[in-house]
Parts: sequence; C-alpha cells; structure tokens
Amino acid sequence: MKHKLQRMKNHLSLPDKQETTDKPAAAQPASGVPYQKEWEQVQGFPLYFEDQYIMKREIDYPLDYQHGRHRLNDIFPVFARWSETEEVHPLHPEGRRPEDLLFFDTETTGLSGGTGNMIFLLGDARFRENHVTVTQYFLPGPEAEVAFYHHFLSDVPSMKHLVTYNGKSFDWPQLRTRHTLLRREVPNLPQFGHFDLLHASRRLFKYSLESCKLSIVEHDVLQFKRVDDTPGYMAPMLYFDFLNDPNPGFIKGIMQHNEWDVLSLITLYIELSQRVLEEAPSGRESYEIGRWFEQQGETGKALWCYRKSGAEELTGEEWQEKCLLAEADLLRKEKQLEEAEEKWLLVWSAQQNLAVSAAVELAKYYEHQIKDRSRALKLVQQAAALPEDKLSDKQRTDLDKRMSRLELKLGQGGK
Amino acid sequence: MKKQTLSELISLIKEEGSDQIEHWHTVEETPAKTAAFPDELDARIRETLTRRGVDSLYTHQASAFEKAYGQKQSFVAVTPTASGKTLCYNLPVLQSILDDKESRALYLFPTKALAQDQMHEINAFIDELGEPIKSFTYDGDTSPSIRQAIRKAGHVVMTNPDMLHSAILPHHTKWVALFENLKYIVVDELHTYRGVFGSHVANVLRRLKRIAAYYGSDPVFISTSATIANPKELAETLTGKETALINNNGAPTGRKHFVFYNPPIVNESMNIRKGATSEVNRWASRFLKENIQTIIFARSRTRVEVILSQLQTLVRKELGMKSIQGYRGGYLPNERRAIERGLRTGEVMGVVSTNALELGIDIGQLQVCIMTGYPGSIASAWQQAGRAGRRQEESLILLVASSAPLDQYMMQHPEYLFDQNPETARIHPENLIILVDHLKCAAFELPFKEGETFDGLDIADVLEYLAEEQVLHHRVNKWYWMSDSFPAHGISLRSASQENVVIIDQTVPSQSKVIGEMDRFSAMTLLHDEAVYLHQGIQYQVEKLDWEEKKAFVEEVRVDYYTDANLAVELKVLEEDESSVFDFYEAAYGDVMVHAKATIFKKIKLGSFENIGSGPIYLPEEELHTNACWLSFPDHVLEQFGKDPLEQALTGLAQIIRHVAPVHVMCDQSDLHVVPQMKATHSEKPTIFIYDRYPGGTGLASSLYKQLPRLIKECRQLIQGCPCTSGCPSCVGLDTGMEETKWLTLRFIAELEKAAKPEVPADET
Repeated sequence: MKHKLQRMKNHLSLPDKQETTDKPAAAQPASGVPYQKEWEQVQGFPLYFEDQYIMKREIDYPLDYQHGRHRLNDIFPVFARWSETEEVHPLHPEGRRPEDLLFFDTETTGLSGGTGNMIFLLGDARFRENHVTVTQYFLPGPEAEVAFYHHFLSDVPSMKHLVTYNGKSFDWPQLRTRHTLLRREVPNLPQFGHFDLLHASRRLFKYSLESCKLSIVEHDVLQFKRVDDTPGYMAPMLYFDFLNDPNPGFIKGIMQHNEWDVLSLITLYIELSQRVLEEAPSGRESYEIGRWFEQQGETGKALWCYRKSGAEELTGEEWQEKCLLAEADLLRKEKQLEEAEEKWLLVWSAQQNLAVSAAVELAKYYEHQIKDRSRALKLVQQAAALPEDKLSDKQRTDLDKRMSRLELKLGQGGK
Repeated sequence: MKKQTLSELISLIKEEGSDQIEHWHTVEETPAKTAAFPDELDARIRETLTRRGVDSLYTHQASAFEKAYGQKQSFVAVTPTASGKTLCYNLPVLQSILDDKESRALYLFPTKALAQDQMHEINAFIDELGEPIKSFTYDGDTSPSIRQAIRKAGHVVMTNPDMLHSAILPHHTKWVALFENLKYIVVDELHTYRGVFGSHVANVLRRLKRIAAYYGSDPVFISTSATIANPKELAETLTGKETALINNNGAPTGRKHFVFYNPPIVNESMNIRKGATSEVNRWASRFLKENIQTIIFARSRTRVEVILSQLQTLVRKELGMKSIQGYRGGYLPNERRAIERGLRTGEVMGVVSTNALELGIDIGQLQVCIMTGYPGSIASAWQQAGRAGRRQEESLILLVASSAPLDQYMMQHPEYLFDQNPETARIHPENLIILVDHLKCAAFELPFKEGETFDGLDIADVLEYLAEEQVLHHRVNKWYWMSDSFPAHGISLRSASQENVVIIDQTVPSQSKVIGEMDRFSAMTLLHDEAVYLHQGIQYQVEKLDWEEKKAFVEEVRVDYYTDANLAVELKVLEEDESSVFDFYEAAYGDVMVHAKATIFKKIKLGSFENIGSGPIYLPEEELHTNACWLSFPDHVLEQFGKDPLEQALTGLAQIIRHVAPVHVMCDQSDLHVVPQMKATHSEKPTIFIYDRYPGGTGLASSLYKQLPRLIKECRQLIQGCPCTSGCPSCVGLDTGMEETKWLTLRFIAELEKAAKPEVPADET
C-alpha cells in the first residue's frame, strides 16, 4: 500500500509540502509543559483540566493607554453620549456598561469554515475597574480542546455582549461548531448579544477605503501602525509548525497580532460611535449614516443626514441631486408629498442624469395623487425628449410604456 | 375522418413495413399481483391510501414495507418504470415518522429535478395524511433563509450526493437533529451510481455512515434500481450494508410490441440505408396525427432539435406547435416542469428527448416509444421502452436502426436485448485516488481514532501517508485534520479526473460558452491545436489549446476532413494481479503505468480517407497510473501468422474491442483506451492492452478480464454481421489500409476462441 501511494503521488493532488519556517532557538522541553521558560517570557502560564492543559496569557493595559488616535478610556464619553441618544441604532449599547462588552477575536487553522477547522487562539479584551485586560487562551494541541473551552466558557460571565470584526459570519459560527462537537463535555454556550463592526465599517468606509479589511481601517481611520506584524493568513502555517515543535516562539507573533486586533476593536467602536453620533467628516459618510438610520425607521435623523450631506460639494457625481432624491423618497414614504414634490422639482430642473428618475416620480405623483394626467403626460414627454446620453435603454422603454398608457387613458375621455 | 386507434396502426405497420421489420417481439400483458395492507401499517396511512382508491399493495411494495419497517433490513428493489416504486420507500419512512415524530430520513437522487419531483409527490401524500410532517429539497437552489429550518425540522430531506459531499457532511454540526435521528437513507436510481461517479458516491456514503454513527444512528438503506445484472452486488458495494433483493414486481403491464425496424437500403452496391431520422419522422407523425401520445428518443441534443423541428412542420396542420416539445439538458428547469406537466395532462402529445427522460421523472405513461438508434446499453433500452405502456393498454416500441455497427448488430441479433443479462454496473470504491480524496474529507469531518477503519477498510497506511504529507497530524491516539483548506471543494464527484480540459466555443466572440470537457489524456489527441473536434455532429476547429490553464478554444467550421493524431504510448506493467495462460494467448490484468505523448496529426479527407496534410503536436508527456487488462501472444503465434499480418489482426481486433468493451462494462467509449503493440515493454511479446483512463482504475479492467470469452465472441459476431467486404470503420477500421484485415482478424479470433474453449463453461459458447 505504501509503495502504491508513493507511485500514485502525482495523481493525488496534495498541497505542496510547506517549507518550515525558521526555527526559534532550540531549547530542551522541561518536564510538564514543554518550553516552560519560553512561555514565561511571553507571560503564558498553564491551566489544567482533567489530563489536559492549555496556555493562558493575561496582559493589563492602563485605561489611558493610547492605541492609534484614541485612548481606551475615550469609550466612557462615547457611552455617555449614547445614553443621551433616544434614536434606535445597531451600535447603541442600550443600558450596558463598557464592562459588559467582550471585544473578541479568534485565530483558526483554516479560513473556510467547516468541522475540520479548529480555533487555536481565543482572544478578548474587557474593561475592568482600573484597566483593560487582554486575555488569550491558547490550544497547545487538538487533543486539549475540552480543557480549552472549559476554561474559556467558565471565565466568561454570561450576558456579555460580543464586539467582533466579521464575527457574525466567521468567529461565532466557528465557535458554535466546535462547541457542538464537545457539547457533552463542556459548559453551555451563553447567549451573547453582538456588535459586528465589519458591517458598520462597510457602511461608512466602503466608498473611501480600498477595502474594509481591519488592517486598512486601522491604518487609514484609527491611525494605528503595527510594527513587525505577523499577518493573519500565516496563522495556520505557524500553528502547524508549533504542533511539530511546541516552542511558543512560532506563535508569539500570532498572539501579538491577536492582541492588537482586540485592542483595535475597542478604538474602532469608539471611532464608529463618534462618527454616527457627531457630525460626520465627509458628505458621503453622512449620506450612508442617513441610510442606516432610515433602515432603523429613524426618519428625522435620516432626513437631517441627507440635508447635511447634500449641502456639500462632491465632485464627479450629482451629489446634491442624489441627496435630494433620497430625501424626497423618504418624505414620500412619510406621506409628506408636497415637500417631496419640491425636492423632485429641484432635481428635475437641474436637467442632469438623475432628472429622469425625478420626472418619473413626479409623473406618478401627478397621475395617482393629484389626478392630473395631462400634467403627468407632459412631464413624461419632456423627459423622453431629454438628450440620448441622459437616458438608459431601460429608462427609455419605461417612459414609452408610461407615455402610451397615459395617452390611452386620456384618449378614453379621462381628461 | 375517424381517428385510427393504436391497434389499427399496429396492424398497418405490420403490412406496410413488413420488408423493413427485422423482428417483432410481443410481451403479453401481466395482471397485477397484490397483497393486503400489512397489519402494522398505520391506520392513517391506510385511510389515505383507501381515499386514493388504493385498497391493496403490489407485491413488491408489500415486501419493501416488510423488509424496511418490519425487519429494519436494507434492501434494493428492482422496479421498471411506472411500477409504484415511490411507495417502496415512502411507506416505511412515513410510518416511522408517525411512530416517532423525531425520526428523520435522507433521500438521495442523482439530479436536482428528480428530488423536486419526489418532493411534490410526498408532500401531496402528506397533505392528504393531514399530519405535521415536513419534507424539503436541499440543494444549491435552496434559499439561505429556509436552510436553517430544514436542518432543524425537516423530517425528510431530499438532496443529491454532490450536496451531501460538499455542503452537508463537512458541516455536520449544523445537522445534529437529522443525524441523531436518521432512520432511513433512500438511494433512488441506484443503477446511475457506477464507474467513477459511483466509486465516489460509495465513499461519500461511507463518510455518511461514519457521521451517523458518531451521532448514534445506524440507518437502513433503501435503494431502487432499474434492471441491471447485479443490483444486489451494486447496492452492497455502494452502501456497505448487507442488502436484500426485492424483485417481485407486482404492477400490471399491458401488451407490448417491440419492433425492430431497419430502414430500407437505398444503394444496394454500397450497402447504404435510408437515414434513421427520416423514418422516425415518418412514423412519429402518423401516430401524432391520430392523437396517439408518443415519445421519441434521440442520442444527441442536436438530433433532438432536428427531429423536433421536422416533426413540428409535418403535423402543423393537425396539431398546434405547442403539442410537440423537445426535452434535453440545457432547457431551464421551469420549461422542463411545464413539459412534464403537459405530458401528464395530455396537452403535450409528443416529446422528443435525449436520455434525460430515461430517469424516473414522472411524465405519466405514453402509448408509443420510438428510439432513433440503439441507445447504447440494454439497461437504457429497457428504461426508454418503459416510457410506453399504460396499464392494461396495448403499447408499441419501435427501435429504428441507424447504420452504426452496434445498431446493425442489434437488428441481426434481437436476442441480445431479450435473452442476455442486462449489463453489470461496476464500481471500485477502493480506487486509491478516490479513496484518499474521501479519507481527507472524512478526517476533516471527524478525527480518525487509532485502529478505526473506514467502514471495515484498514486505512492505517493511508493515514500515515497523509500525516507525512502534512495534511493530518497524529496526536495522542487520533489523526487530526491540520491543513488550511476545505478538501471537499477540490473534489468533484462527477468529473473523471481532477483536471479536465474545458472546451470553449468562441465562434461568436462576445458569446463564448463552455460546450464540454474532456480528460487530459484524451485531450492530447482530440483537442490539440488545429484538431477538428466533433461535438454533437458539429465540426469545430481547435484554435488554441492552453495546456497550462486546461482550456481548449474552438470555433465552428465546415471542412471536408477530420484529424487523426498519433499518440506514442509506452506501457509498463507494474504488477500482475491475475493471469491465465492458454496455448494461443495469455490474458492478465493488473497495474500499469502509461506514458503518452502526442506526436503528429494527419488531416484525412472524408469519404476517400486520403491523407491531405499533417502537422506536429507540441504537448508534454503525460503519465497515468491505472489498471489494465491485456492479451499477449507467444512467439509461435508470430511465426504462424507472420509479422505484418499479425500486426493487421491486432489492429483490427483492438478496433473492434473499442466498440464492444464499453457495452459490457457499462461505461463510456472514452473511459477505455485500447492499444495494440507488437512488442510490449514488459514481455517483448505482441500484446493488446485495454486500460482504464481514470487514474487508479475504476474496476473496468478486472471486470473485462473476467468476461473475456464473451467479449471475444461478441467481437466475432459483430465482424461477421458487418456487410462490408474487407473491413470498414463500422467494424475493424481502415487504419491498416489492407484489404484482408477483416478476414485476418476473424481468423485470429477463431484461434483465440479455439484456444480458450476448454476453459469456457458450455453456456457461454
């Protein structure tokens, strides 16, 4: 069989054997935990459960610690601002205190999910009375998963609220998968609330950043510069190296990376909250925040954002018209039709690309609300007469349809 | 004018077509064989059946219930089309859910369409039952919003093996409710799981059983199959369960006429017959004009379109265009559903289809089935024939022959269809490449414990190998998946090898589309630059073969030549697993290594077969480790025949084996390669190799080895039956350019048969 496997190797589509990374200086494993001295150097200590052990690290940061442009204690004024805010918003802490948040991130053996993907590092940051503590649980080998989750779940008080970056679709489902496999041996998984800051960042930064990867948001928005960072995609490979030789030197960089991640989650929450609560720095962002409020049903706040955003000049787009249309659309839904008409007329009179959309809305309004079909028809005819480049094919067909329908109705004596 | 009835038309064919009818076979009607409802059958199911006008079960349905529900015994039921096979699995499954509402069942269908069809059927029954039982399909089209509900609350989940392999098993923790309570697994259309696909699916089922066992369940497997020679063996190899065979079909059948129709000869001297298509159209239009529901099968998609458009013109006056429809792959699902519905209600009078309608999709029963040419296997022929025949009514099946060698052979040997065993379906789950692929997936799903087997198979060596390759990590007493990848995504159950060449038609540059794919090995000789590639009757020229990217870009052309490439093949025998020695030859099978390199190609003029040009092919050498079966001949045979005549005979025999062998082992013609060699590397003897083109082999070689005498006999009959004088592309080919090839090959076969005679049991000769 072995022989055959070697012969068929070319057909077996296995990944190329990875080059092992540079080995940290060799040291004799002490009895008990191998490389105990090296672990001590990185503040790691063992925790036991039954016949297994895991490694834990705890690092305290003072509350005025500066991480990028924010200090950690900037969170307190932000919470105060939120508590004065009546509006519904997904980032609203709703009576929770900073101590109730668990800023959380994991490192895994693969990025595609599924039961073969294991979490080997659980990292979190929590506010304590006088400091912020970053806690990391490290899995020294796949056989120690029960101990790993036993300690993590016993340490995390229930009713915590998670703050993650893409945790809703990655970290949390992954944690649930592992938990399901061990469910008879470890404590229950508590019910967590969840702020996923990736979703929030996408809303605000989609148009201004090249991508919403955490490292880019950190660099461009939070002004936090990592020095000698080990990129996250190397985590699986470094962990596999560690399994072959359990020297913490292999995964030191990943632990540092994870530590920075959870700290950035704190300052990102601060930053995002400030932008939502205060006047946003750019017109575009203000528009996006408006849409966010609109989806929460916060009409007043949304209208305010659209107006503020439309007051700015943005090159390359019919920015004002876009904001006016958004505003008019919301007003229409709120049945403030006369105000909406006013906005549509403004967009129409600009005679730019968005004029057609405004004309269609106006025509609908005249036909169905004002019951003035000839006025509606006139507008549609004018819109259809716009220069070629202001009309898409679809818009043209739609206008034609609307026109013939109106003509038909008018012809039937419905003047 | 009064419409003619089917029986009037049948007598008419008998008179009018008498010269063309080679054989008329009548299957008399059989009455229903029924059994009373089993005592254990739930009163609610009983009432529902009674309300539907059913007051007893067919014998096979009763046996199925007894096995699956009463004895918790896995079984395979062999059921012809329209014999009520659905109740064979729905009754035990529904009863188990009525007993315990936590019970779950998983149904596997080879296609999404079949799953849809069965979901409607079971849901109609559940509605009448009035119980809160939930049944869903789960496939790529399932909306993400209901997926969670299906995982948690679906009593019956209908899916396909591909979905099971890449979406359900790797995420089994989301399916705890299903796996903890899995009572039944239904494998419908078992006979479609053969060859490479079947070997993959067998391993997917091993993984499924492993996960089920992890959650504490041991489901019963219920399989249904069309008629094949070895349903029980196939079911047992595929599911790894001891399986009972149920073949006491109790559904009634009407009288059936099976007519072998050979189109008239239009050119005596050249032995050319009238085209099958025009004869099919002539007869089909007569039936349709009399409002007789007819299904016409054709072998390619293009042929379907041609027949369809001609028929629509022929009967335009009598019937609307809509009442005749085409049905083939490439149609959208809702178009297909509309056609199926139309056939059931009778709005659609005629349908022209590829083998897509062979599978058990419910279209009701039609009165006439016409096959444009022999469909290629006995099992297919019976599946297609099964589309005609309403209970207690007369029906007609018309097989219209084309001039292809197999068709003409069938016309001369109708007993082949009626007396022979249908083909054997082979799978080879132990194919090392397939096995290793699925062991990776299985390790991803759950770590392997030391000493754990893969459904009884010792796999310690493979696990150790995968650990050496750093895919698994051995720790304490388990093997853990330790790789940053999702193994199921790289493994397709349907494609023959991991890296096929995709064929892209860019005739219209803005609308380039993929029209097919081909394994790398065949691509070297069929898709090289400048090759003329035939796809469903259309000529394409390969503009560029991008070997790195495995893409062939083709454009439609109309030329009067085809291309023929030379493949230099070197075969090394690595291990001989079994052999038998006769005076005239030695037969064996085992592991071989094939090195192949395409060298040059020739342009051959159609019709005259002149060589009108040639060119080099620049492609790297390919290596293939696979199984082969070979025949080699000792020195005295070389002396007896002489070098050149022997070479001609070997070439001729190889050519005919190429036609006949795939029929025996139920595979595609491209799945087997046949290579004659005057001096084989391992023995220096003249040898014919038949090797499996799939790396590692799929069991075809050993299967051929076991039936060599039958294979050789049929090769002889095909050559003897061919009306040509000295060999033609329909039999021994023209490659040698020598006149006497046909007779040399026959003489050679005669020697082979004589030599093997004492070894062959009497009934085989």
